[in-house]
Amino acid sequence: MTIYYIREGFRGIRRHLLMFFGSVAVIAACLTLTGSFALLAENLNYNVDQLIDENEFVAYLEDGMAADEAEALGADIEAVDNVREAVYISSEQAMETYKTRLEESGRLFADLPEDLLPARYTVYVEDIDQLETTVAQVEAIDGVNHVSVSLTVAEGFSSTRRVILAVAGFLLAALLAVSLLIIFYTIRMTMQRRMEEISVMKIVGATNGFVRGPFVVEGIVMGLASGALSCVLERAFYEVFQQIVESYQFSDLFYVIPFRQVRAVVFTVFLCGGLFIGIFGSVTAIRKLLKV
Amino acid sequence: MIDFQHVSKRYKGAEQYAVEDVSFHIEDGEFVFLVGPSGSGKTTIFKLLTMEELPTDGSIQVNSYDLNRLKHRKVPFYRRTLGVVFQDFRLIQTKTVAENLAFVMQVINIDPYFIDDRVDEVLTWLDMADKKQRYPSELSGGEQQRVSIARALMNRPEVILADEPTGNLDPDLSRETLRLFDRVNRELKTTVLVVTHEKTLVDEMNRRVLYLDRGRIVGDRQQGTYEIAGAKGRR
Repeated sequence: MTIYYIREGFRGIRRHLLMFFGSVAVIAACLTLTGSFALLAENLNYNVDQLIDENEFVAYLEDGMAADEAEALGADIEAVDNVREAVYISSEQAMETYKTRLEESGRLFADLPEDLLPARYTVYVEDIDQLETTVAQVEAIDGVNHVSVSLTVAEGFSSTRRVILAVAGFLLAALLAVSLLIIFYTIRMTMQRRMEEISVMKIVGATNGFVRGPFVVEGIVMGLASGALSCVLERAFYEVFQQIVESYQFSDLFYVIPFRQVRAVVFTVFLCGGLFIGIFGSVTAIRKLLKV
Repeated sequence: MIDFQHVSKRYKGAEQYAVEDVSFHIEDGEFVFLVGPSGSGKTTIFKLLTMEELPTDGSIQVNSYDLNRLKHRKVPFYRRTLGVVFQDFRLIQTKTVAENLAFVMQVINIDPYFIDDRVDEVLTWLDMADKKQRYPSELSGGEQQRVSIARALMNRPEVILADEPTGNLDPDLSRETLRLFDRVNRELKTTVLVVTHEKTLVDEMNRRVLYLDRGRIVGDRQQGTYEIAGAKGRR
C-alpha cells in the first residue's frame, strides 16, 4: 500500500506540476520571509546583548585601605548574586589611567601623590535587569565607600531589548499566521481542483486513509522542496544583507552574526517547518473534501 | 435487497421534507426504475443509499447493512458492495480506462495480478477490450458511460445504483445503456435500481416502476410503464 501511495503521490505531482510549483514557491516565500525577519531580530537582539554585556559599574573603596585588604574585598563582591566579575584597580593604576586619558594636560598632575585616587573595583553584572539590587548589595559591603553607576543607561538597554523582543515576537507571530493562512489556501486550491477525483475515490469505497495517503506523500515532497528552496534563498539574502552592512561601514556599530553560526538552526527549522506545513496543509485541506 | 421503512429526510435549514415517509422493498435480483418529476426526491433516495446523506427518520437496510446503525468508519466497506453509476460518468480524466477500472480494486488492496485479469474480463464482457488504454476524453459519451458501468461491475457488486445514467446521452445511446443494465441484471443476477425520467425507455423495458412525487411514493407497479406507475400528468 505504501508503494501505491508513493507512486500515486508522485503521479499527482506530475499531473498538477504547475500547481505543485506554485505551492512550493508560496511556501518557500513565506518561510524565507519569516526566517529573514527572525534572523534580523536575532541580530538586533545579539547587538543589544553585546552592549548590555559591556555594562559595568564602579565600586570605590574606603580611603586608606591597605592594598591586601582591598584585594581581598574582591571575593566579597564576586559573592554577590548577579556579579559576573569584579576587577581590582589600585590607586596607582587609577592615577595612571587618569594621566593617560588626559595626556596633554597630564603634566599638571605630575606632582600629585600616586594614591590620590581611591582604589576601586570595576564590577560586571550577569543580568542588567537586576542591576539596581546588585548595586545596593555591593554598596552595603564593608569597605565599599560608594558606587558609581548610570541606572538610566542600564534601564535604557534593558527596555530597548524588551521592546525589540516584543515587537519582533508580535511581527513574527503575525507573519507566521499570515504565511500559514496563505499556504493553507494555496494547498486547498490545489485540492479543490481534484475534488471530483476524491469524490470518485470515496464513492467506490476508499477509506479516508487511502484517499489521504497520496496527498500526504505530495505534502512531504512539497514541504521538503519548499524547505530546501528556502534554505538556498535565505543564504543568498543573508549574504546580501551582510555585504550591505559591511559596505556601508556599519560593521563597527552593528555586528552581523556569520551565517555559518546560524546555518544549522536555519536549515533544520526550514526543512522541518516545510515538512510540517506540507503534511499538515495537505491533510487539513482535504479534510473537508473527505466528508462525502 | 433494499428495504426502506418510513424513511424521511429533511435537509438542514429546509422547511419541507425532501422525502417523507417512504417505504418500499426491493428483492435480490430485481430490476427497478425509480421515476418522478424534478424535485420529487429521487436524488435524495439515491444519496441515502450511497450514504452521502443520512435519513432524518425511518430505517434503511441494504443486504446485511443496517444503514442507520452503520458506523462512519464502516461506510467505505458498505460502498464496496455497491456499483454506482452517475449521469456525468465521474471517470478520473487523468487515468486510462484500465486504470479507472483497476482503481476500484486497488482501493481494497487486491493483488495487481488479479486486478489485471478482472479488468480484461469486465471489458471483454462489455465489448470494450480495445478501449483499454484510452483516456476518458478520447471516448464518446456512450462509451464513457459503458466504462462507468464497467467500473461499477469490477467488485461484483450485490446492488447497482444508477442516477440518471442516460441524462447526458442521445436516445439511441440511452436505450443501449438501459439494455446493458438489463443484461447485467439478467446475466449476473445483480439487483439494479435506476433513477430516471426517460418515459419512453421505461415503457419499453416493462420492468418494476416506483413512482415518486413530492417526496412520497405514489405508485409501485411490478411491470409498469411510466404513466401508469403513479400520478398521471403531474410530471
